[in-house]
Amino acid sequence: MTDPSPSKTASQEFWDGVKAEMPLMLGVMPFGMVFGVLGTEAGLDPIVVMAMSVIIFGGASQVVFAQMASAGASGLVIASTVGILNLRHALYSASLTQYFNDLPMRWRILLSYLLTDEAFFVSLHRMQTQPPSPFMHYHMLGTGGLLWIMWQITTAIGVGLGELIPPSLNLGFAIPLTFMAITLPLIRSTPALIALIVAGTVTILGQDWPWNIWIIIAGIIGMVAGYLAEQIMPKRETKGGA
Amino acid sequence: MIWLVMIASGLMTFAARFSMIGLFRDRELPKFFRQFLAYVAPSVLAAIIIPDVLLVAGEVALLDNPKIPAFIIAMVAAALTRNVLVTISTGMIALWLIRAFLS
Repeated sequence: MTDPSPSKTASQEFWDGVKAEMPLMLGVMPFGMVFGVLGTEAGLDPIVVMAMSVIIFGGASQVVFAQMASAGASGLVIASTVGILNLRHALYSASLTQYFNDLPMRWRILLSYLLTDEAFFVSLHRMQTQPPSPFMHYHMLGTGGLLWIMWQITTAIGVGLGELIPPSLNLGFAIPLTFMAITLPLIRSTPALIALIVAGTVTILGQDWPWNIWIIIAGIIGMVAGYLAEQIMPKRETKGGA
Repeated sequence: MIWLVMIASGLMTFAARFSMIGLFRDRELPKFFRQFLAYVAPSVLAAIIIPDVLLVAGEVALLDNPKIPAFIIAMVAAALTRNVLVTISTGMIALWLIRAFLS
């Protein structure tokens, strides 16, 4: 931290990513199991539930997929809902692209596939707070890779154990707790707080809007609010540049 | 049929994730856009978290919803310890205790 030592090796970056992601597993593991249980309870074939964790690899959208499929929604409606839900990943993608400028296409494809909420926020934190290194993309291979493996394992556990996990445990509550634990350290300024409050308000107002479209609308309006607050508020530092 | 829907959903998810990483090769994003993106995290995470906490059986429930006090307790733990493990454990245990004793 204090010493501008030579930049980290690929393996150091990778293991840093794995280590930084590790605590989040306490929330991701119940999430995976909840999905496994939910998927089978929704009447989906166990193979379909497992395949979904590989093909979609996105917790929130998989849960929504299973719920809608069991409610008998049409394929078109399910696919569009998942599409809207995951538009936020385009915003993540935009935040990361500046750090992946020199990467060959195969790395871009791999890291895009691994780009989930939990891997994104942990690796973005590394990109923003530590000096760049030629191997910093390995950090995201560590965060995303650990998440991917645990997601597959816990989905399988959820599918296999199914009814053995009592619903009274409310394991699903681990999901918002995990996201909150990630969010809190990111609220470091008043504009960030304003973005959070505005997005939260739109979210509550938008619960009845169709196709879960509130998630992307709330996200964008929150970002606009944060950006505007930053422009309006007097700058604490007037140093030039970024 | 379900496989088709699943593969379509997977492709759209990948497309969103790949969009900027794949397309903005060697191109700098405009400055205002980068400032804008600084607020992705608080905005999107608020949108993900709030329904999970406030909704009970698909309806916004402010009263008789043990998730709200449990979540607030977890927030205090998060603010005090800045530790993900402590935050999640505190929240889960708080929820179990509140449900056991108050409902």
